[in-house]
Amino acid sequence: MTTAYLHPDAVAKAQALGLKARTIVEGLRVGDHRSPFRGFSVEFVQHREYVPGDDPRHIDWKSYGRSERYTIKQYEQETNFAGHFLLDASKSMLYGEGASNKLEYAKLLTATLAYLVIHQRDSASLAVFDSGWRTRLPASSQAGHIITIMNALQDTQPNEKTSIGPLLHQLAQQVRRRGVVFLISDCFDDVDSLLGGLQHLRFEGHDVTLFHILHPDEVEFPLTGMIRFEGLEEKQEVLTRPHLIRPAYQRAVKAYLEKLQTGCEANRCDYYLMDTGKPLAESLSAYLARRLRTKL
Amino acid sequence: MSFLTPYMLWGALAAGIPIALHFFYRSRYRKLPWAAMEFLLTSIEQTSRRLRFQELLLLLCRIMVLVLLALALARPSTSVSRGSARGDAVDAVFVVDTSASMDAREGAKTRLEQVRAAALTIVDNLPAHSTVQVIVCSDRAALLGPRSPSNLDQGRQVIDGLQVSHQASDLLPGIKESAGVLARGHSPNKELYVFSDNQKLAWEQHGVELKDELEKLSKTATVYLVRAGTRTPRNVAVVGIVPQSGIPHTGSRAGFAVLLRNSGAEPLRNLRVTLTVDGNAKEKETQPVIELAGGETRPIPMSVKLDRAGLRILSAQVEADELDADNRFDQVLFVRDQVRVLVVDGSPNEQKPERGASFFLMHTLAPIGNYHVYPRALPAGQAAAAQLANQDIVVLADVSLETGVERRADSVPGDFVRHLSEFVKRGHGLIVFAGDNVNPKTYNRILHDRYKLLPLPLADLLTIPADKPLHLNRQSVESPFFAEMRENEDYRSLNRVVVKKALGVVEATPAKDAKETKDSDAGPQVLLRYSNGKPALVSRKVGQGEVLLFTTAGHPAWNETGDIGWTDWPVSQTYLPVMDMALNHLLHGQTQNHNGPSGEPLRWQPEEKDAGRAFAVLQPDGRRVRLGLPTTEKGRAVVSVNDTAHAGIYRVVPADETPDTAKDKSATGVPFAVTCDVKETQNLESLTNAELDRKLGFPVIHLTAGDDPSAFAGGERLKSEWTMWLLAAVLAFVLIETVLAWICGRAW
Repeated sequence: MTTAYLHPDAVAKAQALGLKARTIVEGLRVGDHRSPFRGFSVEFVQHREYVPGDDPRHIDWKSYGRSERYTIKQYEQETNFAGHFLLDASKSMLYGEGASNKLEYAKLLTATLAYLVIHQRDSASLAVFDSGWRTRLPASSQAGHIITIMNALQDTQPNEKTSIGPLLHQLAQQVRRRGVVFLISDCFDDVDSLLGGLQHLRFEGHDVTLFHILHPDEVEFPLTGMIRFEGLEEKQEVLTRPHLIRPAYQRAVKAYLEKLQTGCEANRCDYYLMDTGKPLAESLSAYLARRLRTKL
Repeated sequence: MSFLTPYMLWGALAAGIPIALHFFYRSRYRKLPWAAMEFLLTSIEQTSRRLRFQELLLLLCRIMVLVLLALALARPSTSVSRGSARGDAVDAVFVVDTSASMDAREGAKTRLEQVRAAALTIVDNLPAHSTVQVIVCSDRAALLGPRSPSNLDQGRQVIDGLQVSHQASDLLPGIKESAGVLARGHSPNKELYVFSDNQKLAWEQHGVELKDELEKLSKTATVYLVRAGTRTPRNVAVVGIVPQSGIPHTGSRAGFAVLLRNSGAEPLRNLRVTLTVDGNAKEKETQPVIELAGGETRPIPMSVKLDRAGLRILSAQVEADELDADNRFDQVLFVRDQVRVLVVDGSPNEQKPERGASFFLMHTLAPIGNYHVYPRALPAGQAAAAQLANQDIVVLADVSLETGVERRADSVPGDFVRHLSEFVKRGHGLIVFAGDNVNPKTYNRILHDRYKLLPLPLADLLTIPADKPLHLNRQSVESPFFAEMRENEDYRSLNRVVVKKALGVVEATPAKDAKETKDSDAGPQVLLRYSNGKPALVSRKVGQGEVLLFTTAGHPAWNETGDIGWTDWPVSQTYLPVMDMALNHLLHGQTQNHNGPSGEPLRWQPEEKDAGRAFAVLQPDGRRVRLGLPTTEKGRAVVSVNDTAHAGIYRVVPADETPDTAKDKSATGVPFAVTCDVKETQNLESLTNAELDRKLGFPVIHLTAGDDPSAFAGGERLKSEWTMWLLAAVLAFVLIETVLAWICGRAW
């Protein structure tokens, strides 16, 4: 088992905060998360009229005494959730050196969150994509599943350019049970297509969180000197002095981020910008704390 | 425009450096794999036009900085290659006008003192390793040095020692001299400073030639005209002493007219003129002059007692004004105990002496007994060379010069004529009268062509109708010496003198005559004319002597019927004073080699016994300068004094005679009077800067001596050069580049 993608500090902080589904999720087992299915547990929700076939044990006799009508007490069922981790492994994720490499950062994030999910007995699935699905692991809550995820992450190598939108549509159609979707990507793709995919997932009732992985260079553009930029995804080369175009670049990035963030808010997706320049533990704990405070 | 260091223009090639750097830095890039290409392309698309413009602007700025820097280092100058610039060694040549007018005072300083101060300031502000040469200039120029041009201390000493001469202004000799000096200089930066009061005389004598010379120089040197003096000085000048009464002789009181001239436009009042002999203050005569109008020349009649024979010094002086140089006028005068005249009679008549050619002359020359003129008549046939000894003047009256087969008994011997020529050239006088024995052809051949004695060639007898004889015309007199004939009404009967026969003379054409007169004072001069304009009396300097030619006879030449053959002048009352005037003129002329204007060399022929002695000259300032042995010219020993720049009395003395050994210290040596050149003070007006600019027609730099010394501190040197402006432009472009680079965020 490799634990290269699990940093104790990040895991400890994440465990302390926990990860709860903020929407109703559909699980197969009893868990900590609200289920759309009404059952007979302790959390009362409503009365409904008795229909033949209902277990007579659930008839509320007190209510019958007041209204002479057979009613049944309904209780909210608590279940586990399935966390779907969608990891962008396109070539654009290769930017950055060492710990600030976007793909490595994304893998760390994925592993940490997956560990957290499995550790609280929820199930986690992994889908690695670029322009198509490269790796897909089904959801599982077994402890050993985390190793499978780790290995899959380790084996992930960037290959082609990103094409997220169609894949999200595809995923929304395939995953019938409502769960939590974590999209981890730099989102260097067609924003409208991406937002369309997110909208589809939300339409299907998923709790969607977009982790936007960006290197500080890509936001602030602090480069100087004469640089020949070589496209990671496109076969394109540009020779320029970056400091001369910095303002224009920053304006373009800002517009792009605003559009993406606004789109996420409109679709009630959780958008979180992950700066690879910051330690993962810090960013993750900030995210989880914010998640605790907010409800979709 | 030219460049003082043109090789620095190669530096303009550095303009290629920014372009090379531009491409160099474009080729020096680092590769960076990049994910967000879309934003990069968008931002480049938005900014590419602006960036290209900024890039071009910066590139232009950088190219301009280097090109302008190269230009600045090449040091362009508006004053062309002549230009010098601050900091560069300069070959400076000072042409200093030292003519008499530079002695004029304005305030406490004379013009020359102002020039000295200005010149010293200029020397003090010359860049290191500069050279200086000083040329003094009046109507002649002299290079004073310093011996080592790069030794500015020596240059300062030369400037400190500058003195005013008493010569006339003329800048041409100095400018010509400066051309050679400038050409010898090694520095490419040459400056010519002309220090002058810019008197009209200095610029107008040889105006065209002077302009051409300066224009040529202005192409290789910066020309500065440094003006001394800002106004025309008040000035009265003593311009001459003219004898007014007969021949000066011992025991007489001789009258002289002291000529005073007001050279300004305003009248001068309450002047006092004094006249002394040998500086004897006890015997001086003083005359007040109430007022002398502007431009007026007035003879002031004065007299002095002459009590000793020999060379005496007359000094006329007027009280001080703003120009001292011409306030004193000295003249050496030969005072005689007696004057010996040899009258050679070509037609003696023992039976009827009054019909002889010498009769009236003898009575005219010695009208009374115990007279100071001692004439001696001699028949022409008996004339001999030995009889010329101890004579002052010889008169040829109707003398035949025929020789060979045509020789008559009353012809003078050829040997006598030859010695007569030498006699005149040694400084004596000769008077020639026409007459029946005078054959024009023979006279022309012998006296004119061979011995150069006749003032003008003789022609045939004038055609004069018997009923319309000629008369003398006293209004034709122009010579100041004979001016009394014209101005004194006692001579009015001169116009009634009847002349029935007269020889013609071949006058030179006016142009030729003018040229001869200009080139040499020895040219013929018509002193008196007949009523028909033909010459009656002609004079010519011959050697140190002078010849007077009367074209009519010195006797009436009565014919058998008692009628006058030639002229009734000998029996006229004007004959005696005119002859006296003629004698006086000739005797006065004999001392003229002892008098001369400043600058002219003095020449003196010592006695033969002294030909082997060395001589020295005592100058007016008391300095004694050794002249060495006399030179020999045409067999005669001649002592020459060439340095006569200053007016005053020069005395030639034997070199071995010192003031201690001299017998009479007050009268040591042979005196010569040198006077301030009268041309100089005739018009003291100066040309204004505008007039000078118009006259020259090309740009020169005007400075004024006595102005703020900073004007002479090389400011013009800087003005002529564009370096500072170009450096300022470089600085401006550097600033623009810096600001642009900062705004555009570009290094390269």
